[in-house]
Amino acid sequence: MSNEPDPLEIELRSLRPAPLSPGFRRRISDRLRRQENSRVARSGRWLLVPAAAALGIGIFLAGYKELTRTPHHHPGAISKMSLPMLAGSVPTDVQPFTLAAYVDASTASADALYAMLDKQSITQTNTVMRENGLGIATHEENLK
Amino acid sequence: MAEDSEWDAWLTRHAANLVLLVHQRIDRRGDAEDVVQEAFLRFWPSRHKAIDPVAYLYGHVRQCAQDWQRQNRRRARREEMAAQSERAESSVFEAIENNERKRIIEATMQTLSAEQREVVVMKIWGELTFPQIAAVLGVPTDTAASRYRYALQNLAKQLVPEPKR
Repeated sequence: MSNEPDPLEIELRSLRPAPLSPGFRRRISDRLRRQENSRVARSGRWLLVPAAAALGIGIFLAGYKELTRTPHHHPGAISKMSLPMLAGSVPTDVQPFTLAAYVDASTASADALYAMLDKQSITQTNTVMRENGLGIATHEENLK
Repeated sequence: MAEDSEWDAWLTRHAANLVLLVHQRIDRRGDAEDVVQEAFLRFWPSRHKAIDPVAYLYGHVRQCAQDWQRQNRRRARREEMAAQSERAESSVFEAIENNERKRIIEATMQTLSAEQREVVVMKIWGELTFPQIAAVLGVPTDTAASRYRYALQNLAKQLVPEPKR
């Protein structure tokens, strides 16, 4: 193909495409701005995801630490509570029951067995709490 | 804003040519502008990904025009007659001194196939290179060049040169 400009090409080039309608640029401009704004908002939302995740992990770790912390770390943090209604009925000097006692209770009746288990459970809990300097006061302590 | 002037420059340079390109497939000018608008809005955020953004834009616009044609085939048929009369009244080119000559050129352009017209528009008014045109059409460069050559030959056969004044 010759590099010399074709007269037809020259004539065609002299024609210019018809101008665009007046609102064309404005419509594009408005929509580009909206597009840009929503893009920024979207990227902002994506930034919130790691922030929320970090916050969630932080809360979880704090809660986990709190749950696993033993009372020895902050003995003064929990004061000795006074629960007279319960404390009054709680024995503090019950020795662990023997296996034979459990067998006897279970053969006697279901109620007898449950009563024995309740007593044992409350006593042990109370003992552990007392050892750690917190928990339920005895009836005698409440009277002081 | 820098980006505003950037897209404004792109529109100044290409928008009218792109509407002309779409007009080769879609008769109504308003529809052609809508297609260019949609294509430009899709093109703009992804322009940096393209090796050749100009070819990418033209390809985008052409693809949008084809999609529009597919989606509006029934409507396009129904409105064909109305659009033809509209096209006869309006012009795809700016008014020039010799409007009769312009009208003849427009009418002769319509005798070419849509593919040939697209190549002519991209080459003459879009000033795209053959490799760019080939990229837009998804054809080899030689095919793009020969399509253009045949189109010009067809036009030349039908257009008696304008007498020099």
